[in-house]
Formats: sequence, structure tokens, C-alpha cells
Amino acid sequence: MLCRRGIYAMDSFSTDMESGVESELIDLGAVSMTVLRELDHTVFRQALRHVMRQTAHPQVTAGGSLWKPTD
Amino acid sequence: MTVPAEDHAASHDFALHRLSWADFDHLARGEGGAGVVLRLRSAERSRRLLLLRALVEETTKTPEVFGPLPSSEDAWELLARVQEKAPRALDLILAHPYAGTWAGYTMRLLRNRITGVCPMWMHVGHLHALAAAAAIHARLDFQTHIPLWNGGAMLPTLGLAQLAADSLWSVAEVRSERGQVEVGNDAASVQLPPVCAGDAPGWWGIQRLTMRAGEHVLSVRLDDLDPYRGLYEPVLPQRLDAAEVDAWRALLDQAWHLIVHHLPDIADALRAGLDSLVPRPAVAFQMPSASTGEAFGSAIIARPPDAASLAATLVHEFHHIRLGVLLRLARLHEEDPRERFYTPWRDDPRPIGGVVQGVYAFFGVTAFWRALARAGAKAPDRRAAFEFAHWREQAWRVLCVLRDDPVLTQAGRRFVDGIAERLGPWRDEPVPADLGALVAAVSADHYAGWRIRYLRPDPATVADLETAWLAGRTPPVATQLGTDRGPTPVPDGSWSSARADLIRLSVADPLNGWNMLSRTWPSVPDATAADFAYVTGRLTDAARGYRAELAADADRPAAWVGLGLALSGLGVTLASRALLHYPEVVRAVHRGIRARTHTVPAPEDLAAWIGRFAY
Repeated sequence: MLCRRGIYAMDSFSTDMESGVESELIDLGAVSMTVLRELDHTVFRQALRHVMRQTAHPQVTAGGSLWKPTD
Repeated sequence: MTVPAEDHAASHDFALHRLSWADFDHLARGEGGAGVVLRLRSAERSRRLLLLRALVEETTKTPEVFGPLPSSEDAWELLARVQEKAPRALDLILAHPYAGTWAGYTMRLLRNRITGVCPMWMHVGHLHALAAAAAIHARLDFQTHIPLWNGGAMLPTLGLAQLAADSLWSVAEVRSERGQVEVGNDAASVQLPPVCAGDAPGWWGIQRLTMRAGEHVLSVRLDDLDPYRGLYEPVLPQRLDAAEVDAWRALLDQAWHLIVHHLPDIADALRAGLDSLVPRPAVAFQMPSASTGEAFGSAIIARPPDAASLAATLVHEFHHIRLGVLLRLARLHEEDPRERFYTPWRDDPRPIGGVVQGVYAFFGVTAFWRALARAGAKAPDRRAAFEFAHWREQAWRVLCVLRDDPVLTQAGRRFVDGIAERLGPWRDEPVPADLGALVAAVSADHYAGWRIRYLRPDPATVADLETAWLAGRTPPVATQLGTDRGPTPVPDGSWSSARADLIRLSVADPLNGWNMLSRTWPSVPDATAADFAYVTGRLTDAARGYRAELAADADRPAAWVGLGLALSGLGVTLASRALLHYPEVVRAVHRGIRARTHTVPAPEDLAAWIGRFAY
């Protein structure tokens, strides 16, 4: 049965025909380790939950008959 | 200290990673070069930082989880010191593919409260090994402790110190002073060499292979040491010997030249996105390779027999790698784990996620072989032409099913359309007619082999056919042979890729085909004399051989399909149609008649009878 209530059901990727796809991943390019350790606001918490959810189902691709994938 | 949420909400207006449609479309068409890859890398860096923070937070609640190792706060402080002194050293560790697999694996252990390959403290404690490696790259003075597994202390991206240890899991100290790094425990100590990539007493360095093709440089680690380099679970080192390293170096050098010469845009992307190769032993007549979305920049590859195979595999895996990050930013399909699709590159039914990955990866493979085939102006490269013709058709076949699937999102349909925009016109490009016939044979062979093992015909249809056959009647007119029940996950019988292997051997050496195959075919796994006869065009002998195989084992899938292929070549239309389009029905009816009467119908007579209404 098609499962629509998995990890993606909790996500809300936004697509905009003008500009592209906006992810749920916050950009930490300019954040130092020291600041990162202290962050605790709502958007940050959402982003944490997002990446933690994504670890539940790692994508594995395998070709050849020796290594079977689990995706 | 944690700053109140409202303070941070006010002081940090974070942007979200965004993928422009221009980048998205470039990726879909297999284009984009290094620029797009670097933007994907930036998103992956943020994801790993978030995972690091999440891991530290999870373990801070239960500091005992670090066992004999220092707390996660110590590792974080060391990483912060690294960033202050040498930000590139931190970035190098954050970009390390197996920092990604470690973070994902360990997070799953923590969240599911399960034990991994090692005790939990060994897995969470790998954070100290990553921090120590970053600090060594940054040339910091520091001291810390890291996990020791089976006597090996791993410093990711650098190498492994071998120490004596009484137990399977213990602790080693890492100390760095004025550029001298020592790893030790109560029993022994190892001094890291000035160039860590080299070996020294007690030290295995991770070797870096650097290939140059003109101005294009590819530099990758050949990582046979990192415990998180595998697909699913941590693994112990499997050190390559010097001859094997040399073989990889030579192959990779030639493969890099091929990619630079024939697919410069892909080469540009590869050099920006490929960090590590995990070498695996060669496997005769197979080229296993794999990657995981958690290890951006890494591919696991069994040593291929030649440079072209390695180049094709690198392009294949790199498409998976790029798509893995894109899928973290954009949803291409709803979650649907049902294994319901046929794919010509796998023997088993696949879910939509695997199908999207496969179409994209084999689109890349097609691009490579196409470029190689077109390069041989005077003497066409028949192998490249065969592989091009084969994969363009297989990728297109699945793409056509995929693009109409309701589970695809709007973005997913756009992505598939991008692939089609490039792949579609390639189908009109000419290839030698004999190669086209071989492609058709390999394609029919695989599809029929998949059907006979994974499709279960409707039992009522099978019973009707058995009854009609035994009564000497014509097949029921209204019978539907096709099934809408979808594939089962359990194969009914084993499969052999021997005919495809033999065809590829004959394509590779067409002038010497028969002589070469007559010597080689017994070494091809599962190959039979009938397969050899079929591939060398002795179709009557092949049909006779497959009949004999079915007389010995009436359930053998490869023999049923082989008989269909041989009869097709001989122009026996009705029987071959049933055997290649509905082999699962023919075998099921054959089984039923055997069970009901203890007589054995001639396979091709039964197939021809069913073939009268099989379309």
C-alpha cells in the first residue's frame, strides 16, 4: 500500500516555478562551531528534526548482484 | 550555555538552502559542471553540521554513553579550535564522506536505542577521531582519546595506527605537539610519519591517487581503512597490497583520461565532487559498485577489468552521488516502498526511489558509452556502440514507465523530462544492425527472466489452461495472460546472466569470437553448452540443449527463456512469443499439468499452444 505518511509526509519542500526549490535545510555556511553549539530557536529546531528524520531511511544504491540495497 | 530561543530568532535570520531551477535542470540533463556540485556540497556541509549538533545534543543528555572516552563537549571544543586556526581543516573533515555515514549510522543507533557493530561508546566516540584528524590537519597542539577497534586507531582521512590491545574495543591516546603526532596506549605507541599518506612502522596511511589529463586533475583517496566506508555497518580495514594499489592507479589514470576527453563537463563535476574510492576485489563477469546518500563524494567499486569499465562506473556512481544530495533538497516522488517496477539493470523488482536513481545513473552510463562510440571515427568501438545501444534503450524503457507514475511529484516529473530531453534524441542515432539485434536479445532475455521469476500468473487462468490442454481443446479465447497483481518479492528460481555475459564477450572480440568463446564459456558463471550454442548462432543446437535442460529440471528459468530465444531466432513465432512474453504462464501451466497427470508436455508444444493467443 502506498504510504504517504512517512518521513516525507512531515516535510514541506516548497517549489516555486519562478525561483526553484526551497529545502528545509538551513544554511550554516556562515555559522561558527561556537555559535552553532548555542543555537536554540524554532527554525533551527525544525531543521534539526528534519535532518534527524532523514537519517531513518538512508538511500543506498548498489549495482551488480553482490550488494543488495535496502532503500 | 543555551541562548533563549527568542534571542536567537532575533539575531539569526537563517536562509534555507535553495536549488534554482537552472541548477535543477542542469542536474536533470546530466550537466552543470563543478559549480552545481559546489552548491550541493554547501548544502551537504550544513546537513552534516546539523547532524553533528544533533548527535552532541543527544549524547549530552546521557554522558555515560561515551564510556571511557571524553565527553562530546571536548570534541566540539577541539573542532571549534580547528575552525579558528584553520577553517579549511574543519571543512575537510566535514566533507569527508564517511563522516556522513558515521553521523547517519550513529544517529540511527541513538534514536532507535539499538546496539551497532561495536558498543555504543565506540560509535559515538568516533566524534573524537574526527576532531583529532581535523586538529592534525590544522597542525594544532592537542591531546585526546579515540576508539581503538581490534587494535586499530582510525584517524579519518589520514590513516590507521596499529596498536597491541587486549580487548576488541579499547581506547588510544592521540597527542600532538609542535607537529609531532603520536598515537598510543599502555602497550605501544606509533609516531605518525611527516606525510601521513605514506606507511610507517605501525601506521597505514590512506593513499591519495592523483590523475592528470592535461590541465584536468582528479585527486581521490583510496580508502581501505575507514570503518564507516561501507554501505550498512562499520567494517574493519581491508588493506590493499602494493600490486593492487598500482593496478588501481593505472586503471584510474586511464579512466580519468577517457572521461576528460569524452565527457569534459562530467569530468569538471567529478573533480569537484569525488573524494574517495573504496576499492573492492575484482569479481569475474560482474562489476559491483555502490554508493550511499550519506557518503557524498564516495563510491565503492570492485576493481573492473579495464579503464572503460571503470570510467563508466565512475560516471554511474557520480550520478547517484549528485542525485543523493538533490533528493535532500527536492522531493521527486512521494514515499512509496512498494517494489513494483521492472528495471533491466537489476534482477529484482524495485521501488520508485530505486527506479529514479537507476534511470539517472544509467542515463549517465549511456552518455559515456555514446561519447566513446562516437569517438572511433575510423574503426567504431563495437563494445562502446553495443553498450550505448543497450543502455539507451533500457533507460528509456524505464523512463517511459516512470514519467507516467502518479507517485512522481511535479519536480520529479520535471527531472525525468530533463533526462528525456537528452536521452530521447539519442535513440535515433545509428548503431550497427548486428549490435541492435544483440541488444534486442539481451533485453528480451532479461525481461523474460524477470517475469518468470517474479510474476505469479492468475491461478484461475492457469487452471483453465491446464484443463483445456488436457481436454485437447483450443485455449480459452477470453483468457488474459498478463497479470495486474504486480511482482512478488520472492523469486521463483534462480537466474543466470550467462547469455548476456557471453554476448558481451563476443562483442568485445568479434574477429575471434567463436574461438575465444569456445575456450572461455566454461568459465562464465552458470553458462551451459546451450548458452554457448545460442551465442555462437547455432540455434538448433541451442534449442536442443535447452530442451535437455528442461528435461532434467523443468523449473529452470534460464532454460525456459533460452528455449524462447533460440526458437525466436529460428522463426518459431508462436512458441517463442509465449516463452518471451509470458514465460511465467507457460511454466505454471506446465507445472500444473505435471502435477495433475504425471505426464510431461513438450515445452515448446505447450508454449506454441499458449502462443496462439499471446500478444
